[in-house]
Amino acid sequence: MSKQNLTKLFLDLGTFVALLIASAPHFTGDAIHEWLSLALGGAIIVHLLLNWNWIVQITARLFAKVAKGQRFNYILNWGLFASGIMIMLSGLMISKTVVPFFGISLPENMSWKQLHELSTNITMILMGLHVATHWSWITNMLKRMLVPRAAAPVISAPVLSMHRKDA
Amino acid sequence: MKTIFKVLVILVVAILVGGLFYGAVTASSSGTDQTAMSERPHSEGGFERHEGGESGGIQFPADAVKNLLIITVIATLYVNISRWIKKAGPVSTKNPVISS
Repeated sequence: MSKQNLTKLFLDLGTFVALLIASAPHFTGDAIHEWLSLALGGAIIVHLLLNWNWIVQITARLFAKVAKGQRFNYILNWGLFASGIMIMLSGLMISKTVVPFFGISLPENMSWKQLHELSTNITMILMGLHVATHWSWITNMLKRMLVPRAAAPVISAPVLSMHRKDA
Repeated sequence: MKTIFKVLVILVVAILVGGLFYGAVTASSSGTDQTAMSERPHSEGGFERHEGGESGGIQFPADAVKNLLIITVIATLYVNISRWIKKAGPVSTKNPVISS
Protein backbone atom coordinates (compact mmCIF):
# COMPACT_ATOMS: atom_id res chain seq x y z
CA MET A 1 0.00 0.00 0.00
CA SER A 2 1.40 3.37 -0.98
CA LYS A 3 2.04 6.08 1.57
CA GLN A 4 -0.44 8.38 -0.17
CA ASN A 5 -3.21 5.78 0.06
CA LEU A 6 -2.50 5.32 3.74
CA THR A 7 -2.65 9.09 4.25
CA LYS A 8 -5.93 9.20 2.33
CA LEU A 9 -7.41 6.37 4.40
CA PHE A 10 -6.48 7.89 7.76
CA LEU A 11 -7.54 11.39 6.69
CA ASP A 12 -10.89 10.10 5.45
CA LEU A 13 -11.54 8.02 8.56
CA GLY A 14 -10.60 10.94 10.79
CA THR A 15 -12.78 13.33 8.79
CA PHE A 16 -15.70 10.90 8.96
CA VAL A 17 -15.46 10.56 12.74
CA ALA A 18 -15.05 14.34 13.11
CA LEU A 19 -18.11 14.88 10.91
CA LEU A 20 -20.18 12.63 13.14
CA ILE A 21 -18.97 14.42 16.28
CA ALA A 22 -19.56 17.85 14.72
CA SER A 23 -23.06 16.79 13.68
CA ALA A 24 -24.10 16.44 17.32
CA PRO A 25 -24.14 20.00 18.72
CA HIS A 26 -26.36 18.97 21.65
CA PHE A 27 -23.61 16.57 22.66
CA THR A 28 -20.55 18.75 22.08
CA GLY A 29 -21.89 22.23 22.74
CA ASP A 30 -21.72 25.19 20.36
CA ALA A 31 -18.02 25.97 20.64
CA ILE A 32 -16.75 22.47 19.71
CA HIS A 33 -19.48 22.13 17.06
CA GLU A 34 -18.45 25.32 15.30
CA TRP A 35 -14.67 25.14 15.59
CA LEU A 36 -14.59 21.44 14.65
CA SER A 37 -16.80 22.13 11.63
CA LEU A 38 -14.43 24.88 10.54
CA ALA A 39 -11.50 22.48 10.89
CA LEU A 40 -13.44 19.97 8.79
CA GLY A 41 -13.38 22.53 5.99
CA GLY A 42 -9.59 22.32 6.07
CA ALA A 43 -9.69 18.52 6.06
CA ILE A 44 -11.95 18.59 3.02
CA ILE A 45 -9.50 20.87 1.19
CA VAL A 46 -6.70 18.34 1.91
CA HIS A 47 -9.02 15.51 0.76
CA LEU A 48 -9.61 17.35 -2.53
CA LEU A 49 -5.87 18.01 -2.95
CA LEU A 50 -5.08 14.31 -2.46
CA ASN A 51 -7.67 13.39 -5.09
CA TRP A 52 -6.81 16.28 -7.41
CA ASN A 53 -5.63 14.10 -10.31
CA TRP A 54 -8.92 12.19 -10.40
CA ILE A 55 -10.93 15.45 -10.31
CA VAL A 56 -8.91 16.94 -13.18
CA GLN A 57 -9.09 13.73 -15.27
CA ILE A 58 -12.84 13.31 -14.95
CA THR A 59 -13.54 17.03 -15.45
CA ALA A 60 -11.48 16.98 -18.65
CA ARG A 61 -13.39 14.07 -20.16
CA LEU A 62 -16.78 14.50 -18.54
CA PHE A 63 -18.57 14.83 -21.86
CA ALA A 64 -16.38 12.28 -23.60
CA LYS A 65 -16.67 8.52 -23.16
CA VAL A 66 -16.52 7.99 -19.39
CA ALA A 67 -17.87 5.01 -17.47
CA LYS A 68 -21.37 5.67 -16.15
CA GLY A 69 -20.22 5.01 -12.60
CA GLN A 70 -17.45 7.60 -12.84
CA ARG A 71 -19.85 10.27 -14.11
CA PHE A 72 -22.33 9.45 -11.33
CA ASN A 73 -19.51 9.62 -8.80
CA TYR A 74 -18.37 12.98 -10.16
CA ILE A 75 -21.87 14.51 -10.00
CA LEU A 76 -22.38 13.02 -6.53
CA ASN A 77 -19.12 14.61 -5.34
CA TRP A 78 -20.20 17.99 -6.70
CA GLY A 79 -23.48 17.62 -4.80
CA LEU A 80 -21.57 16.76 -1.65
CA PHE A 81 -19.29 19.77 -2.15
CA ALA A 82 -22.27 22.11 -2.68
CA SER A 83 -24.16 20.78 0.33
CA GLY A 84 -20.99 21.10 2.41
CA ILE A 85 -20.67 24.74 1.35
CA MET A 86 -24.32 25.24 2.27
CA ILE A 87 -23.73 23.79 5.75
CA MET A 88 -20.69 26.04 6.25
CA LEU A 89 -22.42 29.16 4.98
CA SER A 90 -25.64 28.66 6.93
CA GLY A 91 -23.62 27.64 9.98
CA LEU A 92 -21.56 30.83 9.81
CA MET A 93 -24.74 32.90 9.41
CA ILE A 94 -26.18 31.50 12.65
CA SER A 95 -22.83 31.18 14.43
CA LYS A 96 -22.69 31.98 18.13
CA THR A 97 -18.99 31.34 18.70
CA VAL A 98 -16.79 31.56 15.58
CA VAL A 99 -18.23 34.69 13.93
CA PRO A 100 -18.58 36.68 17.21
CA PHE A 101 -14.98 35.64 18.03
CA PHE A 102 -13.85 37.76 15.07
CA GLY A 103 -15.99 40.66 16.28
CA ILE A 104 -18.58 40.35 13.54
CA SER A 105 -22.33 40.45 14.15
CA LEU A 106 -24.63 39.10 11.48
CA PRO A 107 -28.35 39.75 10.99
CA GLU A 108 -30.61 37.00 12.30
CA ASN A 109 -32.58 35.16 9.66
CA MET A 110 -34.52 32.04 10.54
CA SER A 111 -34.21 30.64 7.03
CA TRP A 112 -30.46 30.05 7.65
CA LYS A 113 -31.30 27.81 10.60
CA GLN A 114 -33.72 25.79 8.49
CA LEU A 115 -31.22 25.60 5.64
CA HIS A 116 -28.53 24.44 8.06
CA GLU A 117 -30.66 21.50 9.13
CA LEU A 118 -31.82 20.71 5.59
CA SER A 119 -28.30 20.80 4.15
CA THR A 120 -27.05 18.60 7.00
CA ASN A 121 -29.64 15.95 6.19
CA ILE A 122 -28.84 16.16 2.46
CA THR A 123 -25.12 15.89 3.21
CA MET A 124 -25.65 12.77 5.32
CA ILE A 125 -27.57 11.09 2.48
CA LEU A 126 -24.91 12.08 -0.06
CA MET A 127 -22.19 10.98 2.37
CA GLY A 128 -23.85 7.56 2.54
CA LEU A 129 -23.68 7.34 -1.26
CA HIS A 130 -20.08 8.64 -1.25
CA VAL A 131 -19.03 5.94 1.22
CA ALA A 132 -20.93 3.32 -0.78
CA THR A 133 -19.28 4.23 -4.10
CA HIS A 134 -15.86 3.90 -2.46
CA TRP A 135 -16.74 0.88 -0.33
CA SER A 136 -14.55 -1.57 -2.26
CA TRP A 137 -11.58 0.84 -2.01
CA ILE A 138 -12.12 1.26 1.75
CA THR A 139 -12.40 -2.47 2.43
CA ASN A 140 -9.40 -3.23 0.19
CA MET A 141 -7.28 -0.66 1.99
CA LEU A 142 -8.32 -1.92 5.42
CA LYS A 143 -7.66 -5.54 4.40
CA ARG A 144 -4.22 -4.61 3.08
CA MET A 145 -3.45 -2.66 6.24
CA LEU A 146 -4.68 -5.28 8.69
CA VAL A 147 -3.54 -8.37 6.76
CA PRO A 148 -0.62 -7.16 4.60
CA ARG A 149 0.39 -10.57 3.24
CA ALA A 150 -3.06 -11.87 2.46
CA ALA A 151 -4.12 -8.74 0.60
CA ALA A 152 -7.26 -9.04 -1.42
CA PRO A 153 -6.62 -8.92 -5.17
CA VAL A 154 -7.86 -5.80 -6.92
CA ILE A 155 -10.71 -6.79 -9.20
CA SER A 156 -10.47 -5.57 -12.77
CA ALA A 157 -12.84 -2.70 -13.39
CA PRO A 158 -16.33 -3.79 -14.44
CA VAL A 159 -18.96 -1.28 -15.58
CA LEU A 160 -20.17 -0.33 -12.11
CA SER A 161 -16.75 -0.41 -10.47
CA MET A 162 -15.62 2.67 -8.56
CA HIS A 163 -12.00 1.53 -8.35
CA ARG A 164 -9.62 4.39 -8.72
CA LYS A 165 -6.39 4.22 -10.68
CA ASP A 166 -4.48 5.48 -7.67
CA ALA A 167 -6.03 2.95 -5.26
CA MET B 1 3.38 26.81 -5.56
CA LYS B 2 1.25 24.22 -7.34
CA THR B 3 -0.50 23.31 -4.10
CA ILE B 4 -1.25 26.97 -3.32
CA PHE B 5 -2.78 27.31 -6.78
CA LYS B 6 -4.94 24.22 -6.20
CA VAL B 7 -6.07 25.52 -2.79
CA LEU B 8 -6.92 28.86 -4.39
CA VAL B 9 -8.97 27.10 -7.10
CA ILE B 10 -10.90 25.15 -4.42
CA LEU B 11 -11.51 28.32 -2.40
CA VAL B 12 -12.63 30.32 -5.44
CA VAL B 13 -15.08 27.57 -6.45
CA ALA B 14 -16.32 27.37 -2.84
CA ILE B 15 -16.82 31.15 -2.72
CA LEU B 16 -18.70 31.07 -6.04
CA VAL B 17 -21.00 28.26 -4.88
CA GLY B 18 -21.46 29.94 -1.49
CA GLY B 19 -22.16 33.27 -3.17
CA LEU B 20 -24.86 31.68 -5.30
CA PHE B 21 -26.49 30.16 -2.22
CA TYR B 22 -26.20 33.43 -0.30
CA GLY B 23 -27.78 35.38 -3.15
CA ALA B 24 -30.60 32.87 -3.49
CA VAL B 25 -31.38 32.86 0.24
CA THR B 26 -31.19 36.62 0.77
CA ALA B 27 -33.26 37.25 -2.35
CA SER B 28 -35.96 34.84 -1.23
CA SER B 29 -36.11 36.22 2.32
CA SER B 30 -35.42 39.91 1.66
CA GLY B 31 -38.84 40.93 2.97
CA THR B 32 -38.47 39.22 6.34
CA ASP B 33 -37.57 41.06 9.51
CA GLN B 34 -33.87 40.81 10.40
CA THR B 35 -32.17 41.81 13.61
CA ALA B 36 -28.51 41.83 14.50
CA MET B 37 -27.29 38.88 16.58
CA SER B 38 -25.84 41.24 19.17
CA GLU B 39 -29.20 42.97 19.65
CA ARG B 40 -31.03 39.71 20.29
CA PRO B 41 -31.42 38.35 23.82
CA HIS B 42 -30.08 34.78 23.83
CA SER B 43 -32.66 33.33 26.18
CA GLU B 44 -35.78 34.34 24.29
CA GLY B 45 -37.10 32.53 21.24
CA GLY B 46 -35.04 32.35 18.06
CA PHE B 47 -32.27 29.81 17.94
CA GLU B 48 -31.87 27.39 20.78
CA ARG B 49 -28.51 27.26 22.48
CA HIS B 50 -26.64 23.98 22.66
CA GLU B 51 -24.95 23.84 26.03
CA GLY B 52 -24.63 20.07 26.19
CA GLY B 53 -20.88 19.74 26.35
CA GLU B 54 -20.29 22.86 28.39
CA SER B 55 -22.58 22.74 31.38
CA GLY B 56 -25.14 19.98 30.94
CA GLY B 57 -22.78 17.06 31.64
CA ILE B 58 -22.36 14.06 29.32
CA GLN B 59 -25.35 13.53 27.05
CA PHE B 60 -26.21 10.79 24.60
CA PRO B 61 -24.99 11.85 21.12
CA ALA B 62 -28.37 11.20 19.48
CA ASP B 63 -27.67 13.39 16.43
CA ALA B 64 -24.42 11.59 15.67
CA VAL B 65 -26.09 8.18 16.02
CA LYS B 66 -28.97 9.31 13.77
CA ASN B 67 -26.54 10.56 11.11
CA LEU B 68 -24.43 7.40 11.31
CA LEU B 69 -27.61 5.39 10.87
CA ILE B 70 -28.63 7.42 7.79
CA ILE B 71 -25.17 6.95 6.23
CA THR B 72 -25.13 3.22 7.04
CA VAL B 73 -28.60 2.57 5.62
CA ILE B 74 -27.92 4.52 2.40
CA ALA B 75 -24.49 2.92 1.91
CA THR B 76 -25.80 -0.61 2.59
CA LEU B 77 -28.70 -0.12 0.19
CA TYR B 78 -26.46 1.24 -2.55
CA VAL B 79 -23.78 -1.45 -2.19
CA ASN B 80 -26.32 -4.29 -2.16
CA ILE B 81 -28.39 -2.92 -5.03
CA SER B 82 -25.31 -2.37 -7.22
CA ARG B 83 -24.08 -5.90 -6.38
CA TRP B 84 -27.50 -7.29 -7.28
CA ILE B 85 -27.47 -5.38 -10.59
CA LYS B 86 -23.97 -6.67 -11.33
CA LYS B 87 -25.05 -10.24 -10.60
CA ALA B 88 -28.15 -9.94 -12.75
CA GLY B 89 -25.97 -8.58 -15.55
CA PRO B 90 -27.06 -6.74 -18.68
CA VAL B 91 -29.86 -8.37 -20.69
CA SER B 92 -28.39 -9.72 -23.91
CA THR B 93 -30.26 -8.77 -27.07
CA LYS B 94 -27.73 -10.25 -29.52
CA ASN B 95 -29.09 -13.79 -29.61
CA PRO B 96 -32.70 -13.75 -28.55
CA VAL B 97 -34.14 -17.17 -27.76
CA ILE B 98 -36.75 -18.06 -30.32
CA SER B 99 -39.58 -19.99 -28.81
CA SER B 100 -40.76 -22.98 -30.79
